[in-house]
Amino acid sequence: MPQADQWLGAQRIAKWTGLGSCTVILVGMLVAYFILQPAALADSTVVSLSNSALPLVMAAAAETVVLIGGGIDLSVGVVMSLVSVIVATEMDSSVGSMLFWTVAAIGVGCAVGLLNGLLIEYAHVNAFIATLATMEVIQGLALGVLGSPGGQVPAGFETGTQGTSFHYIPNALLIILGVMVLYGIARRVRSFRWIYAVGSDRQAARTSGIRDRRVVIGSYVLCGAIAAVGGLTLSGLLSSGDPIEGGTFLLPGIAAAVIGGTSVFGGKGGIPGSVAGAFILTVLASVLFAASVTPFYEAFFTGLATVLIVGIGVTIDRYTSSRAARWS
Amino acid sequence: MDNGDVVGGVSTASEVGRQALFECRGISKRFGATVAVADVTMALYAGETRAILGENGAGKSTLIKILSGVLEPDKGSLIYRGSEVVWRTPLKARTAGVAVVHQELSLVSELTVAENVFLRREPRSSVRLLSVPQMNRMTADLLEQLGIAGIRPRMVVRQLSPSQRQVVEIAKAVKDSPSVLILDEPTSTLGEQLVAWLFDQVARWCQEGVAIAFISHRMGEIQKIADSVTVLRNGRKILDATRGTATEHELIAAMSGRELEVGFPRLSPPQEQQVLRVEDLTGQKWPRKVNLQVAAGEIVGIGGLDGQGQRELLHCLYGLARAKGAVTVGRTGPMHRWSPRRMRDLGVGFVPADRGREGLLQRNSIAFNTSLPWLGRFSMGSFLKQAELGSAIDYRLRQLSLSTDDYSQLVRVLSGGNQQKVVLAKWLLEPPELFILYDVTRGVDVGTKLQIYDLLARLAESGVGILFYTTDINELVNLSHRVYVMADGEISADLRAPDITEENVLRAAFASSTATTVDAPAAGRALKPEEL
Repeated sequence: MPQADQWLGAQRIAKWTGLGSCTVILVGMLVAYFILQPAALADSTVVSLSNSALPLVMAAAAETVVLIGGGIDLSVGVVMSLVSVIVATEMDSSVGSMLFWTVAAIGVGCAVGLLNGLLIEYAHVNAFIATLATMEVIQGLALGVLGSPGGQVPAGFETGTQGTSFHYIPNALLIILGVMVLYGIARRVRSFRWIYAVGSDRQAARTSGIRDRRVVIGSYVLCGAIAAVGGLTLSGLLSSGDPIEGGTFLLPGIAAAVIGGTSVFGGKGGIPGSVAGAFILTVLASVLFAASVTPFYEAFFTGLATVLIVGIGVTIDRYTSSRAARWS
Repeated sequence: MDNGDVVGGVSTASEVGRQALFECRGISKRFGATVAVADVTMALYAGETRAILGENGAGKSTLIKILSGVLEPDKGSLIYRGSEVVWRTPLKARTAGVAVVHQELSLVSELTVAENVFLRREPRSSVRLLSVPQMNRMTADLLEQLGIAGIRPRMVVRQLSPSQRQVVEIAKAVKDSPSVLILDEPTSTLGEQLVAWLFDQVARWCQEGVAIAFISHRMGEIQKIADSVTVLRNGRKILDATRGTATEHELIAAMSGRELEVGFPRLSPPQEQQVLRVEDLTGQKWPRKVNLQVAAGEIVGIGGLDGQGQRELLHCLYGLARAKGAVTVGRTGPMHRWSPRRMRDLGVGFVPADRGREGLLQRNSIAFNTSLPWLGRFSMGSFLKQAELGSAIDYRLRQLSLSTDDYSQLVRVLSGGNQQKVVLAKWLLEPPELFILYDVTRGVDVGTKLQIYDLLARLAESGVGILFYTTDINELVNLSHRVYVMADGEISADLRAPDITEENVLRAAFASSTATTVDAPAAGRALKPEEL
């Protein structure tokens, strides 16, 4: 059955384009970076790269979940801000307090996600509008808790994110690896797959007996939870709380997810791609800095790179799937 | 469809005292002011096939949704294995053993075949995690057991052809050996050979004691496999007959509520002048070196097994897919490059395969959809001549006797048959010189089918050339001046008037031995023409 084999081959390529092309680009950029800045070949660079990628990775991972489910969440960034200011104002260095506020922070993220999900599914507010509204509300709350950057997080939190383990492996990198491992497990959980099904074809999922509304709401809750963890890492990295900083990760987070091959139309993508996408954006910033590009142009090049990478990905995808599909 | 003989042989169904496996009593359902199903009682018996007949909008789909737990009835009860049940969700019905082969709704295109087959009922290991290899293996076994080759568990559904999707849909439904199986127009996307495969399977399931409900618009199929028939019209049960007690005429009359002449319109002879000439048309995979002509007033049918390049041929011809070769439309010279826009300007109308996605904007009104190709024709500068356009639309749609007079209604609330009429109207606002149609009567009820046949015959009489593909062989044979049969992207026969018979078409369709690798069942028993 040669035709069938061709299809599978093309499919396999298509499946890995997002992650594959990201990895290639990432390695290329790292090489460029170290050529431009040989001095950067030091432990400290790996640490600083991982540290600056971490919150973006979390934002992108959170966004990926709702994108797969066919939605979008604009409140990811401000949830990170809210969590960071709560942690910076409320948490003290006792283990009990750290544990309690960590759980509470994740609870806050889940609650925001639940609110988003309910607004979208039961009040029938368009996802973009609903999460735009919650974004404003949460931003207001975050500023209410802490009007300007400040506060203090426990020392354990700082080292937990900024430090290294086993001598030279940055903790930030370990956290990112942890996220990937959790994703690997989630891929094999039924209800996580249903997010893909619902995002890809809601009617079909419903007809198959999936409770689609619950799945969508669940995707927002999961997104909120991941965003909250992102907020925890953010406050650890900043050693303090910031009511604004989190919001700056929203759009780069979406960009990272899309660079990594997640479809804004739902049903397609994954967290490893988003992690790679986040690293690409982070390393790109470093490369631009190393090439002494004026910071004013940084956004310009970031945008350019996003369009380029996504364009390449889409083209490869079109080519491979046209091989398989157009003539079927 | 040419006789009025009594259908089939011995009466087997609904003997007194036999207990039904699955039954609905006095089912009613309304949506707002519309009564979709009214007081329907129907019984399914183990080991029997019941056909459910009705025109589009007769309430079949609603009834099926109620039987399978997608909708809850307003009134009435369901009785399964002797006791009353309330499903509430499709999953409950499914786990109890009532499975549905949905028309086009239940496959997720981004997931693989295996993931779809197991969707919502995924196997889990002891630690409650999925095993993908296990899922793939089980799916492979299932497909093999059903005698399906060419579909692999790891293929993504997006890349399957409509008939392959239908096969996957069937596999999904029968996965856990249900005791009641409801097939909602399963044959509308299947080619002749797969229809035969499905009927073999239906016979096997019947023997195993499955109660089957079967929905189809094709009389021939119903005659072949149904033990009993229920006819619905406007949501009510009109007729309940066992095999051998109703004639085809009676069934059609019951469906349509009027006596219908079951027949094809007389065709007037075509003219001399050519409207289309295609030379060596070759696409990426299909078609391969296709040559064909259509004369003014000529109706040319394209036949063959489903998925042998007919869709690609028509798409290439209209400029929707890239192709090499030369195309002459009317008095243009041979063109080597053309686009849908150019084709339209040359007076070529095209009705695509998937009216839902390609042919109509579901969320816009009937009038808006109809006007879309003609906004240029009905404007002065950049401004539309609203009144003129409005009356032209009105005139066309009235001719097609749509179910509604309110042309500001959204297209998506229309039934399938009426949507198809809107697609046709869209291209008839200014009658084309050449009309390309892809399976226009698929999923359309008998009454509308006959209207469409008449319309095509009248168009041809007025000098329009018509090139159409159909999966209904009856239609192909009776509605064409000439028939091209396609196999593996090539034209394997060019049949003219006395030679256009089902037998010749099938012979040409099976001529190419490589033609059936993707779609055909593995066991691939050879079909004899007289079986169809």
